[in-house]
Amino acid sequence: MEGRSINIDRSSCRVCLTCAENCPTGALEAVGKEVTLKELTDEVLKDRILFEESGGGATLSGGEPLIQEDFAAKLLKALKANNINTAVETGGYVSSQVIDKTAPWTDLYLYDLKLIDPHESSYYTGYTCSPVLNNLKHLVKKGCRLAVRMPLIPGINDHHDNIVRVASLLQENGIKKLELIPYHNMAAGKYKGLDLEYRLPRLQPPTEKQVAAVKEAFYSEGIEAEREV
Amino acid sequence: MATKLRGSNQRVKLLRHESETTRPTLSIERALLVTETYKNYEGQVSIPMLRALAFKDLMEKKKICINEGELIVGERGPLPQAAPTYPELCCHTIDDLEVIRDREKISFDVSDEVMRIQQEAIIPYWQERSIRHNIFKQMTEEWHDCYQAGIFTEFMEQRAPGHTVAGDKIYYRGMLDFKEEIGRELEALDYVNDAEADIKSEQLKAMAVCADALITFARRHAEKAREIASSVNQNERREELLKIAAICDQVPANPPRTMWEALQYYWFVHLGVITELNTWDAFCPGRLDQHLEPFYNREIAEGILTRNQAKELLECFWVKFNNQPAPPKVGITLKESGTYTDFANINLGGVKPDGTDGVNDVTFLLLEVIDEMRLLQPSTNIQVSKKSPELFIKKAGEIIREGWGQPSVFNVEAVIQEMLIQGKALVDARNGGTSGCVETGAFGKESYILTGYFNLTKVLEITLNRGIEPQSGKQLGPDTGDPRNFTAFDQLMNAYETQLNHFIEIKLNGNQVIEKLYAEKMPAPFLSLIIDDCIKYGTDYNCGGARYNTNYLQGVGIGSITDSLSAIKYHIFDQQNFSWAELLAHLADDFNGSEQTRQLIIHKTPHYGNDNDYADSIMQKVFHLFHSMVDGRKSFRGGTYRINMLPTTSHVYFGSVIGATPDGRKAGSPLSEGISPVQGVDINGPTAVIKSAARMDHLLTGGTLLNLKFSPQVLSGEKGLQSLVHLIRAYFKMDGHHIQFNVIDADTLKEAQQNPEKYRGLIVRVAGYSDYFNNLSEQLQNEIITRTAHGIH
Repeated sequence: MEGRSINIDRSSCRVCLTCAENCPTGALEAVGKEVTLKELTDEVLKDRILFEESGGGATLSGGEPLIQEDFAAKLLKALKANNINTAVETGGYVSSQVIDKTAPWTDLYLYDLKLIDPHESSYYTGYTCSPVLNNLKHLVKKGCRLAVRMPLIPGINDHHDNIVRVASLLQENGIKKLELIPYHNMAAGKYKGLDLEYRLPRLQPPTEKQVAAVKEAFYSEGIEAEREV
Repeated sequence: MATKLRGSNQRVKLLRHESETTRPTLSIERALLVTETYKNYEGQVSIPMLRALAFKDLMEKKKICINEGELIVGERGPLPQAAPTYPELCCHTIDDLEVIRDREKISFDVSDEVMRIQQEAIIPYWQERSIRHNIFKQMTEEWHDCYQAGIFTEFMEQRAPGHTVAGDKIYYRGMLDFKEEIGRELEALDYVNDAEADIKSEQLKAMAVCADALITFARRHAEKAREIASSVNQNERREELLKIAAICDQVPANPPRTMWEALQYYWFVHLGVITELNTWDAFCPGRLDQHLEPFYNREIAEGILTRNQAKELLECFWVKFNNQPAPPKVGITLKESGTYTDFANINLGGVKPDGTDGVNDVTFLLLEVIDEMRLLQPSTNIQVSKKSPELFIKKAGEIIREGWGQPSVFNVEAVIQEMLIQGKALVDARNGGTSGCVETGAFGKESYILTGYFNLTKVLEITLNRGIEPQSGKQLGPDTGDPRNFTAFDQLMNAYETQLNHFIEIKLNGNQVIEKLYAEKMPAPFLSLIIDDCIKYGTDYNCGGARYNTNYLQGVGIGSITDSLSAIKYHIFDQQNFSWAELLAHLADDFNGSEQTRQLIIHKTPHYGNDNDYADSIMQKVFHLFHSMVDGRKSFRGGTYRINMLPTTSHVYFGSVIGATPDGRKAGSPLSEGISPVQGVDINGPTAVIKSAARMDHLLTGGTLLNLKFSPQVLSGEKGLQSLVHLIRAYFKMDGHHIQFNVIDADTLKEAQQNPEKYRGLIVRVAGYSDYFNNLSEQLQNEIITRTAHGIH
């Protein structure tokens, strides 16, 4: 600790998190903890009365929740057994068996599409997008409920070529609607807290005008794109 | 000068503007008139008759005021915003008046002339006769010690028990009808077998005098209206004044025939009640939409009233409430209730006597009026039942999210069950509602007086000090042992229970003496006319004449005491993070030099308000202790004690008399308010707060107060409104009694604190009522800023 700031030597940190446990003010904080299936199910069930009132439910989110496929499937099954609506938010970069494992207990997939071009996809996300595209088809074929969403990142995935290709992929799969999620930089603080480099330091969220233009472009391709509410 | 004035038309805009910008003044008129009556009649007539004659003199002699352009007439004082004094209750010293004049907040203009009259005519007569003087004289030394220490407050020390709400009878019976009823009861008195027949006779005759006096008061307004009419050039206004005169001839002598007459009748009754005595939690019309609906529907159908005319009348009616600041309070009573607001709280919606949904056209009209007027007074609430249409809650939600604190939201099913548990008839419960801040009552049929706030957290401080009150060093409670020797948490709870019992005994014993004093010295014959069954029993309101009599004791700081106990249990007994000796030393030093421990407590203790069993079960324990010690006990006038969980502004005062507490709270800081969590520790969102709060058994109370603060964004759009409805419905499914919302962001409030002049109109929800942010003490302002801003997901 120097002056008014806390410095952690990440190179020798074993993430034991004893520091967070012993930090009286909560300045050091462990984000995330190990839980058992029962603990997590009980935590969700605490809000049952509200879900029943609002028609809401539990959404597995991330990161990528399907990386923990077995736990995710068990949790979804336990929630369905308790009559809780379930949703899974996924980027779709998993094997189709993982989808099969979770599908019986999932009422809705919130499915992220970012880039269609394989080169762009590998460049920006670090992986090829073919599993993502295949799983989309797979989900449609299985008759799963889907809400496809596209994070709108100015200068990266809002160009015309990507819009046209996303639109035609949706068309091919009989999907008429798309949710747009405008990029925001609220995570910058988290990166700082984790001593990680935030690699889009200067990127600004899209303006209303930019969002409207993308909506319009999708519209002329036959897709109703709406900004997420 | 603001260019945009609120009000649906020019008339209302001007009236409202006058009401908002006129500075409150203190009027000596009432004090002089009452003194004169007492000098003339004291000792020569019975006490009830003396009170009736005082009322008669007031109604016959007080200055009549009809303001320019107004449609509903009558003021409590000689002018709008002029508050009278009640020397028979509280005889202000010259020092008091200077404080009232000069204090930064909630001040009143007091002229030198008023000072002189107070000195020469009022003080000599009343200083040893006032109720306040006699209460303080008759209370025991230990009561005084506890009162000074801030263990409890005393509602009746300068204001009278009142706390009731008008029912429906004034909308179909006039004062002449009540006189007839009194006549029948007088004839039926059995002087042979009824030992109290003589007393009843006096009380009934006193009520009859008051009925006549109110008629006279109305007639004087009729005369005044005609007098002004004769000198007005403008035809339209002349017609209006003549109409007002005709209305004042009709009501309150006879039943009202139109909505205008109904409103004017109610207003005369209101003025009667608040002029007779300075009653707590000003009277209100209660279920106004229910009462007005028949008039409104008929007149609309017959084409003699338009919706806009009805709205204009209601807006004029609203201004009348706002013209009456709560009479000036002093001392501890000011601290527990620092506001000009007098707590008239109009109920909308609810259910009809047959149990069907009560929302009607007038309900929606009233919502528009509330939104348009945005006045501190009257306060308003919506009564939500399972049967309430969604549209009703959403329309109210649209007003709530504007962020000035009205309307608050109540659970009809809970309120009715509370009354049934208290033994009331189902129809009386359905016709009832909530008034004041959050208090449950059978409107028109119940005297449900608040007797004082009770400082649950202070009792813990005393427990930790073996019965000694640390500020004074006095041994106020029994020695329940040195906590350092407590080896189990239950030992602490047992000690707390002993102390709690001790102090509740002192408070309730004091109440008996005070209640007797009011029953004997300060009957309220006019109020008795209005509340059933005072006429039928020939018994005054203050002597137990109402059909139902309830006394409430209000528990304060449940969040603070829960977190304090939770911290002790968790850190001393479970985790052994520190010892008793260490904790007690930290408390004595106000955590100076032990900031690390304080932070540990704040951040690592299971807190109430996070849907966490560890803390919530402690809350339940304290709640049940308090409930079991108070509930069901009988009062002097035959009332039954119940508990409430609401603070007004007493959580600030109660916090100011407590040193550091085991939950990490620094000495003198406010306690948690109502049943809300300690400010800032509820980190799991609003759904966790309502889950925790619902673990309290609300149905065993006569009202609880839960405050949630939202930034405006979270409630925006249809989705935000929908979330609000879901949150309300979910809380009410769990039997929550009441929920209110402050919709404002902390930055705005900080800015307002720095630049008060820019935010003169900023209204925030305090605790069961709204107030101008600028009128709040800096402490209270800070507390409102600290209340967590939640996000709804």
